[in-house]
Amino acid sequence: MRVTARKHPLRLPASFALVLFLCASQAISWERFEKTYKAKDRSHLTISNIRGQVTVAAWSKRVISVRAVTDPEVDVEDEVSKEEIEISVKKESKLGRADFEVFAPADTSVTIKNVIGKIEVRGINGHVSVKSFDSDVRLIGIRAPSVEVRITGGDIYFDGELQEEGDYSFQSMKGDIEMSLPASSRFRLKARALSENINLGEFLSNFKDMIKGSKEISGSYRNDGPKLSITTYAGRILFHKK
Amino acid sequence: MGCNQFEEMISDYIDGALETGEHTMIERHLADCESCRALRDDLLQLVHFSRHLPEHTPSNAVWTAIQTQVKAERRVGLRQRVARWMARLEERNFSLSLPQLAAGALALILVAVVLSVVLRRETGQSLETASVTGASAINKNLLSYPDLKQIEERISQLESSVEQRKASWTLDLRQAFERNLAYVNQSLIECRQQINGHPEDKVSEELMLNAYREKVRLLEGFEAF
Amino acid sequence: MTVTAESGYNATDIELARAAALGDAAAFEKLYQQHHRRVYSLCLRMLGNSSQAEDLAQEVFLQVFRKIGSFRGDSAFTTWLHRLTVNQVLMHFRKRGVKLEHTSEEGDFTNVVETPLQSTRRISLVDRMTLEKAISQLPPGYRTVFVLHDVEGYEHEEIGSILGISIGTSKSQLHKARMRLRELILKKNE
Repeated sequence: MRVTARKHPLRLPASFALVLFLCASQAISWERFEKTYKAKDRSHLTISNIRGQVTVAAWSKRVISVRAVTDPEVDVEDEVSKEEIEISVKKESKLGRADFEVFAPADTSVTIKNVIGKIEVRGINGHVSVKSFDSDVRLIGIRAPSVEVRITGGDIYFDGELQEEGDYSFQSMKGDIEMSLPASSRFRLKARALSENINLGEFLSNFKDMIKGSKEISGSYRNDGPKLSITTYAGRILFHKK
Repeated sequence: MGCNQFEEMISDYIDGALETGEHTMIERHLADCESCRALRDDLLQLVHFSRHLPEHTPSNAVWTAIQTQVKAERRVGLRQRVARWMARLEERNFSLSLPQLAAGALALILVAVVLSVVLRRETGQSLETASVTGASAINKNLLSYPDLKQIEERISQLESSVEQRKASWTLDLRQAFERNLAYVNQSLIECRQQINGHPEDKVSEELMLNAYREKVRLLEGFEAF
Repeated sequence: MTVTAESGYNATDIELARAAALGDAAAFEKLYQQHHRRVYSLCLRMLGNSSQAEDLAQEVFLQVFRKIGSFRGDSAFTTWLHRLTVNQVLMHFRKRGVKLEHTSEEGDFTNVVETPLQSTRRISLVDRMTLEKAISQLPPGYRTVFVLHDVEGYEHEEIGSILGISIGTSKSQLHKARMRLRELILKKNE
């Protein structure tokens, strides 16, 4: 893009003027919250947001990195104690949006609270708890000892492995719940759908003590295992074998 | 006049905001300069079409959402007026004689009855019929679900608290709340229908109780704002 | 109700507004039916985003509901309504930290525009979609002034008072908006 500086006595290099022009034409201001914390073994991290995306992904560094891009009026606070790191958007910030991007060691336990906005967790092996309202939730590559997801409006997608003696529960009022599990999984299932739409796919065989009603399928898959509880109202339950 | 100067004045020329002398200069330049004529023609076209751009129509969701909010605000307004009236009444109690007190009590009862009818009618018309599902729960299955009464009361409390705060929320927060409340209420209605048709359906019963708890969670979540 | 000679004065609007102020829900609905398209179009063109524009249009009418009692009828209802609308848009920009370029100094780099002065290219007949798209691509400050002046027909005095800028700045922003639009459309036609 050619830049003509007609009225100005200064003669600036075209590239410099171009950069300034591009910056000025963005004309939107955001704020950033950026912090890193030393990770202990199996640290516990809580993110409390109101409006915006929350993404947590595992990495190999022994450090928890939290970055948020927020609207100017949003206040992000952190509280670090021996056991926990808690990052929260202050309730008074309800006008604004904050998008979080977090990297943490895989053994971190993660608790996410949100109201509106997509949530994604990848590669985490610590406990995972997600509580929100209007959110699609994707949990990918999860090998956690427990997972709890509770939302009112949104789809849940879980891809991971269930650990022995674990506890897994997924609930959405309006949304599909999709499970993608290895063929070698074992679990004790309680799947309920008010919509009567439960599709176990290839997991339909190998069930013991199966109770199959129009709105519920329960039983032990492959001789019992961790508790797996899935509830949806207006939506489907789908199982895929990995 | 050069092309640069022409360009600085072309907008005012098109808007008819130039003095006679300047106007003449422009026209003289136009007579000799093709590229400036092209510029003038382009801008004339732009301005002409812009003046005649058609109106767009928003979706029906806009009016629906406005109605919901207006009804809620009317209800809050009414409740607040009643509360203020009651408060004023309380202050005056001490110096009343017995017959006056009796007359006052009778008037209060009459007003309370009228108000409750009005409020129930208004609430009944609300698009988010939260209290309607609540009312039918109390009527029908109260005996079978001892927890339910407590949950209903809690829901009522939370609903009025949320109503008062709603006005200060942003639009998308409000919409998210209404939307999710609708999901929960719809689920409650369906559970109830299922139970009415098949009273032995334990699964629907459990789902209904769970949905009630989820409604509490939703209201508590938004009450914080 | 007599119709006065003032331009844009619609006796029906005034009657509806008075009734709505007294709590007449049907009157409020009628006002909505009569004006919601214009309000929405204004928001849509200033924001360039239809769902944000719907949100804002909603907010505008809620403000109408809350403030209709304070509408004295000393200006046309449409003027009062459009001021309300523009104020909502400006608040929306403020909340998102969007800075309108005319708050910066004249003569800084936001003024730089490439003008093919020596070319005789012309915009072939502008189709509506191209024009609307180009308007949505204008920087917010240019877009605001352009929409108010060329689309909505406000004068520079009015624009200046609404946006808190001088008439000179309003004229200059309008000119830049037009030049930029021309560029965008020419580029599209290439």
